[in-house]
Amino acid sequence: MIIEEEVEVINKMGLHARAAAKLVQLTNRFKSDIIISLNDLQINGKSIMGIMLLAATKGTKLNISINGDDAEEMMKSIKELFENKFGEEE
Amino acid sequence: MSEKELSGIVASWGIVIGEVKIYKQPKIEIEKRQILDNEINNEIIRFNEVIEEAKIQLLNIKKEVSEKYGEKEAEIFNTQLLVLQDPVFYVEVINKIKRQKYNVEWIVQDELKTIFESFTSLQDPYMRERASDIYDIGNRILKLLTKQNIENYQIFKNKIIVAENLTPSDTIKLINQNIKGIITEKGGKNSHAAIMASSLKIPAIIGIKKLLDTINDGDTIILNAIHGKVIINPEKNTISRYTKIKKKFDSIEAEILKNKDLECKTKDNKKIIISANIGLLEELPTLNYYGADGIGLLRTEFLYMDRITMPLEEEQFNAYKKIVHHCFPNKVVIRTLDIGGDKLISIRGLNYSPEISNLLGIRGIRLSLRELDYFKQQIKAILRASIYGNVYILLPMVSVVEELLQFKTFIEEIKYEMKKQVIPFNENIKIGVMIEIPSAVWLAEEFAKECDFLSIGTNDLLQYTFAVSRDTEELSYLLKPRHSVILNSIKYIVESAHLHKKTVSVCGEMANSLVNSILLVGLDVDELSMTPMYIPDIKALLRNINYKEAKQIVNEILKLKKTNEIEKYIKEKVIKYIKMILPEISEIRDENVM
Repeated sequence: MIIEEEVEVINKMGLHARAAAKLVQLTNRFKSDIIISLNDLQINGKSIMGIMLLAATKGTKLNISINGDDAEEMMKSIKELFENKFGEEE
Repeated sequence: MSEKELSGIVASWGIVIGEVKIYKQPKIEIEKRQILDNEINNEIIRFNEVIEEAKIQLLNIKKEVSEKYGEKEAEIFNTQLLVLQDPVFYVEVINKIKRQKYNVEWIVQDELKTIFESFTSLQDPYMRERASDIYDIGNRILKLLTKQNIENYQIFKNKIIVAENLTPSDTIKLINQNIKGIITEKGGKNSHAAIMASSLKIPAIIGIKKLLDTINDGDTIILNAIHGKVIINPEKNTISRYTKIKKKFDSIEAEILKNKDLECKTKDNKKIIISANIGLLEELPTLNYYGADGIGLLRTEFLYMDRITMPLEEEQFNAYKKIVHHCFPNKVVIRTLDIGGDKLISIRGLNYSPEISNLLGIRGIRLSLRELDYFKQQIKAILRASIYGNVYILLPMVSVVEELLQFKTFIEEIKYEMKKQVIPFNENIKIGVMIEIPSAVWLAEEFAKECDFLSIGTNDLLQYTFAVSRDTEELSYLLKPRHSVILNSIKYIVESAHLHKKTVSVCGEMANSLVNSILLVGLDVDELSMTPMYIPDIKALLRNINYKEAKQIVNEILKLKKTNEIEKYIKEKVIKYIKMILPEISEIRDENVM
């Protein structure tokens, strides 16, 4: 199955290296494929370099598309990570 | 071959004659080779093996860095580890080997180049810098693929090192090889390499243009780090002349260093404190080496540089504790965060940008008082460290008394909270302000009433007094610390402070000079805080002058209103006076920088 949702970067520092690291560590735990898009840029959500290239700052809205058996579970975890501001102290 | 001469900036004094060894970041040569179908598998296996090997290397480095410098510093290796495991990169390399049929080195290099270019084209400066992480890991993979061993540093033993620039890790590895001297094409006086060379007494000259075009491996050179000259392929008589100069230099230096720990008191018994300005933990050994009476200015920016998250209280506390403990029983004056102006950081989440924090913008205490949550972590860390020695707090860029009063209320609140939590600190910690803005000069008496000490930051005071930024080379003739405007400002500040029985120190670059030290003593300044390597000279001079004579000299200069008249007086009278007292000094120092 394919699911698609929009998530917003709400942590102060945006998707910097450490946040990007947390995100790929999470996405690589799942089997489904994940594509993250920002405007014209589409990247593989399991690639650290791809995520860093998004250079997403606070307030950026990302489109996330997941395809696979554990898609729903993966989406849920990703949204939690964004909502918890990647576990950073603000 | 004829003798050639180049000039640059002296970063660490000394004279040395020796052979050049050029230090280059190892460059990797990659060949492009078409492979046969039956070689494809082998190339993929090699790629897999190297990725595994690189992973092990990185994990080891990460462990070592984390143990030595803390987990924060080791974090960058996490990113690199993830880059190694990046599925897109991995799959792309494998696919390209199969499709294009080139050797794995070539494919990897090609792929890295594409990624590197995407990063360098990003707008966000922080993300753009991540390109260096990619470069680093790419280099590691390529080195392993081409089986290039780590450079053999033995070849630098007893050589004079010539390099475009040196990173801190290069410098450490080279210094372990007993090198004789360092010359670099780039780098400023505050670069790690410059600071480490001066703290280890290795003669060094930096900022020599076209250095690498002019000098070759194996050249014999004279490194004259008195006058900032490098003499390439010197003739016999030049060598014999310098051999004599070197002998003299070494013996005079040793003589001056011998007395570094004597109390700095003029012949007519006026005591002056000579302390050090430092801004890196690596500089701590220089305090004992050069005989500093503690730290008169600890720049705390080092804790905030090259990172994107704020250093939290615990990290700051550990650094301050180490420094304070090291200096005990001498004092440590900790200046609170002073970013903005020409000092920039890349921390995110802070309400700060180079535009709003320009020379006349939100910098120093103005920024700290806007970001009280972060500021609190620094002040709390300083207060906690205060029980380990003799700690003073110094506030930068204060322009009106209200800022000091606001800070005093703020610190009282923190102290109250700490008392409630039973966290120990020194109740009577001294608070001072930097006088570096003309408004603060005029308010010196008000400040003296409200705080414990004043410290004059002459670098900024000059810029703001003459309305000239330090980067405007064309106007550098205006930035003269010996101008009567500056000397009169200092005089007024000192008189105002002494009226309220408070002390005054001078901690700008102005204090790094023999001539100026006499003027400042004549102006009744209580303490001079300077770059450590200048301390022994200035102590030796001040111990042998009369305070009364220094007063006479400065009074004469205050009568002169034009820079050329002042410089003439200094050349004819003050330099002569210095040479009379320390006749050997002109043998080992350049008159132009006295």
